[in-house]
Amino acid sequence: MNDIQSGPIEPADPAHWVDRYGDYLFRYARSRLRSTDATEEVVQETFVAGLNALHQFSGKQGAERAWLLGILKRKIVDFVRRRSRATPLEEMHSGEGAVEALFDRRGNWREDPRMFGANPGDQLERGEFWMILRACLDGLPLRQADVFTLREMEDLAVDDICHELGLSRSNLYVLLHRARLALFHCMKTRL
Amino acid sequence: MLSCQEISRLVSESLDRKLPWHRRMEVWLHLKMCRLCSGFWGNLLRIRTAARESAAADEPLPDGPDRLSSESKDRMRRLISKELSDGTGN
Repeated sequence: MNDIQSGPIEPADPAHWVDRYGDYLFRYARSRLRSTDATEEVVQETFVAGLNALHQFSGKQGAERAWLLGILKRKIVDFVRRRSRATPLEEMHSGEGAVEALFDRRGNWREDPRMFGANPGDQLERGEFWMILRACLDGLPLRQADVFTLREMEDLAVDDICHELGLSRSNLYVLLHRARLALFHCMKTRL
Repeated sequence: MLSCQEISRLVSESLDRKLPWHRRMEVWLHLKMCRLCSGFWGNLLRIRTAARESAAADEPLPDGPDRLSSESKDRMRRLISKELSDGTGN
């Protein structure tokens, strides 16, 4: 038996990939990698890898974009690993600024951390909240922004991130804590 | 007694792993008593939700381009058509 009943077979059509999926893949990758150059690199790598793996494409109707996206997600993690290797661990200690801005020496809040957004009743547009989040993410030290993105946007498991980036779990928890505090602090000043 | 700074570390960590039960108790008690930290905790969850929702949406990006430049598209089209014609030759 073959699985022809699973739907019309549509062979992959690489000649139209750039026009059909290029901008979509670009937006997806740039929201994760933030740099335009990095994004163009991974999108191009995705097309090349797709060409080399055409025989693995299931051919299910409408599956082409999802298939390419699956390749892109892998390429994004590979890229983050490369750039993380190129970033010295000295960054582990950056981002203390947010801690000092938020807490006094005894570890008490300096300012009320409940105030986030204008008035509690003043519902901030969801899109605006996202925009501020993205803008603040852009300002984080690279490694913090990358682990936050892999964890919260790509929804990778802790152990997978540790494995990919060569971090211990406790290092990752520290980085994620710093990233969240810095994001919170940055967003608090802009909301 | 854990400080609010230490609680901020533990509530962040609780988003990434299940804390040992005695830690969970400490955090829970602190959040019960401390409105500041429970407010912070709510805001951390808001940030997580926003990150996940924005990740799932194909929306325009805040700054910079939100599509491939036409030069890059041309370059990639050429690359793909070259690979395709080379491939059939083999």
